[in-house]
Amino acid sequence: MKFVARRVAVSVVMLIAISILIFIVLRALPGDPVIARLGTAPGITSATLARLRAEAGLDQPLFAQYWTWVSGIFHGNLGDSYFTQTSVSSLIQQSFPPTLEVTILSIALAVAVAVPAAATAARRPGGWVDRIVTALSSAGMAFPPFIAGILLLLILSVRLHLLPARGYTPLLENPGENLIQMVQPAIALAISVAPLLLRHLRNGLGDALATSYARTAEGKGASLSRVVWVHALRNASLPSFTMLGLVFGYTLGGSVIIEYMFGISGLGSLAINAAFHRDYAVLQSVVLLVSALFILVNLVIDLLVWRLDPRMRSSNV
Amino acid sequence: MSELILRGATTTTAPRPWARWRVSVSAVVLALIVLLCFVGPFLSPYGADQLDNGDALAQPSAAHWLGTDEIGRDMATRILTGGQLTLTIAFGSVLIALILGTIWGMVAAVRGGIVDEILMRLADISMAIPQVLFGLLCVAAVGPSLASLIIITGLLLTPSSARMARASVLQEISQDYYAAGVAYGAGQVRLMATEVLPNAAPGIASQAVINAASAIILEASLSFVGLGVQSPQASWGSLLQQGYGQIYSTPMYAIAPAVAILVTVLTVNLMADRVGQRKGIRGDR
Amino acid sequence: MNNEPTSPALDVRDLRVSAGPLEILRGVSFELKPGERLGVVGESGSGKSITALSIMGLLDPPARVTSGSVMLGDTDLLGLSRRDLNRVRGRRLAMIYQDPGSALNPLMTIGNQIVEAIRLHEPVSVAEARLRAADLLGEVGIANPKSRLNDYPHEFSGGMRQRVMIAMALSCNPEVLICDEPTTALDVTTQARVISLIDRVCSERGVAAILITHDMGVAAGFCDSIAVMYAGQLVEKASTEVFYATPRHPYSRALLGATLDLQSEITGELPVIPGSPPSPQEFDFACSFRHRCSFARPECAAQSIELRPFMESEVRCIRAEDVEREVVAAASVQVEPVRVSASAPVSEERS
Repeated sequence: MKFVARRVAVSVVMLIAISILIFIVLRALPGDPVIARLGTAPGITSATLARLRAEAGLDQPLFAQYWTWVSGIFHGNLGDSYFTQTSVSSLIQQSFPPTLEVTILSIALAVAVAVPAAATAARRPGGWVDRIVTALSSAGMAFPPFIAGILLLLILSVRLHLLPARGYTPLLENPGENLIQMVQPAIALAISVAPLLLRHLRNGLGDALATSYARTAEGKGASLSRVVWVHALRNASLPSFTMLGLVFGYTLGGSVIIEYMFGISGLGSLAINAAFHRDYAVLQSVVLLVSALFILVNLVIDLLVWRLDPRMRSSNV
Repeated sequence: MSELILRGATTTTAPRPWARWRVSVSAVVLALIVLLCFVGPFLSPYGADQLDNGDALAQPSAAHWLGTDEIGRDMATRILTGGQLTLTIAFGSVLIALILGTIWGMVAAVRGGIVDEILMRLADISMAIPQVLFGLLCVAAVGPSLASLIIITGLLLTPSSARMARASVLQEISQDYYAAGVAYGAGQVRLMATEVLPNAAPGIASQAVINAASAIILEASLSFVGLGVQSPQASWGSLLQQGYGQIYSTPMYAIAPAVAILVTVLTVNLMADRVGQRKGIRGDR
Repeated sequence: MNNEPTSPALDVRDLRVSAGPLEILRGVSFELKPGERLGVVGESGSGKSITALSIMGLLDPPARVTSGSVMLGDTDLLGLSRRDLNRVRGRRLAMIYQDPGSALNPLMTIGNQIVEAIRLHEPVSVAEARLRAADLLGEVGIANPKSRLNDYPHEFSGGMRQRVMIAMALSCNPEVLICDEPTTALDVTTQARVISLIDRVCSERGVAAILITHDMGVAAGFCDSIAVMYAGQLVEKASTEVFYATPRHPYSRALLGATLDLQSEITGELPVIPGSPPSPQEFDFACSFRHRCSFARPECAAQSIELRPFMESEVRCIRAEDVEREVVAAASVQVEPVRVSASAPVSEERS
């Protein structure tokens, strides 16, 4: 249990540090959101500026502004958008589900491709399947999600007219349409993410299959498939779980651009809009939320690995 | 024991000739890309901003190999000049990350203890924010411009450089020559500059190569959403954004910058691959 | 052992293994009668483990069997498809390995690993297989077998893990058990217990066993006959009594001398075999031991040398007669006391 407590504490400290970092980047660097919002419109008096600043709480000392923001998080009150004056928490509530859906779908897709591909490649190290899989994963790593997205759009939407290019229908509203719209974004993200997983898992499986316990299993009369899927995969998947945590962060980052490209009104689109309008109130909370999600997923994965590995469990209790 | 040797032979295969050659092959291709971007426009019959009003959004033809954009500029020429900007940003930011990251990592490695702990936690924290979002945050704060883009991208890549520099330097200062140098009273700064850094250079340089790929992707991401290179300047990322807007009428407009980014990133990755394979994962990006 | 002629439990004929262009096992032949124990001895790298792994079909590429036959009863193991081989391995033929620490899957409870071994070959329910697994654990001397089924390998000591391996190997009542240096990774007191356990279960179940070891004392206590390997070949075969009383091959004599190490250290003289065994690149048709042999003559390098009957043994040496004469003249080395002292715990167990 000491391990769990320590791991949770580290995550909380990291989150606090991240919130400070976000705040410093936005407030301490030069640039004024109010002027940015009004632009160089004529006839703006310094009195108007001061009033707008006061409305947004920007006249307060930095520490007070930070405290307002952070304490607001616990009350579910993240302030109002400087730009649209709507509450940040309601904006985030609307944008959160699409991002979560894209991320989960693409990671599920990546896992669904990477695991069987790695297992098949590992059966015969250096065989033709192994070589093709390795080459494809090297190529896939060079595809940033938005390049994969553009090429998919060009082929599936522009050339073949198979799939819609843009748009998002909430899953609960119309699941069929939603899934059709999700095909391209999910594949685009998975293309750049699956190779990372695939390569990691393939190497792990290779190591696991070269161990004595894999040989013991074979000696018991287990088929190669059973040795790979039951014995080697179990051992190779633990480090790959940790990799999955990193991949999750990469997917969250990639989904920002993918959402923009496919017209999905998720957190990424929200962040881009906020960055455009220097809407600090929205931007700081979105970035914090996404980072928190990333840290949370990594925490969960670490705890899961700890649960699944009997050696770690008993050495830490 | 022969049986043990045979057991271990499955994962580490002898490098094929291709593996040995691909660093030099990709270096040559990369040099060609750079040359093309910086010299190519002079050879082109069109200026980068030269308009061909009768021929906006043209499909590829003998006159315009990659077609034209929405106001009739030659796409091929624009791709090359756009490449200048993309490559400049990549180079500048890699340089920033290299310098800051090396100092960061070196201080952490040499000082050790609490300084090391704080510096490395700082790196962890800044790497926990997805890079694109961090980029948006910085652009929102200081506004998009060429200089800010180079600096922001450079800063975003610094933590990974710092980690690599720290690991490489740590390995060097655990060697005997460093202890001997200290024992003989050699100044620490001098020892760093003349002995440790040259020896740690391969590791640091390989991270710089990985960073170059990340920088190109990051620049393109920010420019693609309109928060990077601003018109009238153009980079591959901003060209991709404009091409994306014309994707139904002139597919080549989007294809050209996409392929340019893809080929360059692939080439850089091939160069970095050996490092990536050894480390298991490639640097966070 | 009765004297009725029985068909062998395992019959290995001219087994050859190559790794790439190199031949690492060069025509090994031996028979194992039902219930018999054969000791395969030799230095590291002599091909003992390769022999065991090729019988099990567990060689890793690039090593592969190039010719020969391995008959388990009426089944030619080398001719089987992978699928059919998997029906034999673990059921009729089982193996325990050198390092029980790494030979068990660290992420599976030992119960599940034994259950898997049973259910791969017999259509029994998990519950039934677990009962049998618990019985097996009890049989190999593990206390509270039922609850220990749920433990992971790292929760057992080295000797206990090897007991688990033995239980797993016995789970389907194999005809032949191959033990590849089963005690090398264990400490001395545990070694004796594990060997006596293998001894007991083999006797009780009538399992034929191959014991691969470089411990001449252990081999003396456990085996009915001894096969000596050197440089990928058998250089001597004999019954245990004959072998230890009259080792014929100069290498066997050196090996038995080498087991004197412990005692001679006290007196200060170390009968180390000079030189080192040839690597597969250096194998040739002639005698492989000639470079280290004090009896070597030019003719030892000039001809290919076969395993041939000599007195009560089989030996791969053209100078066996001369060795015999010289030994008689020089009043033979006393190996008898070594055997008794080194294998003392085992002998007690057997009697």
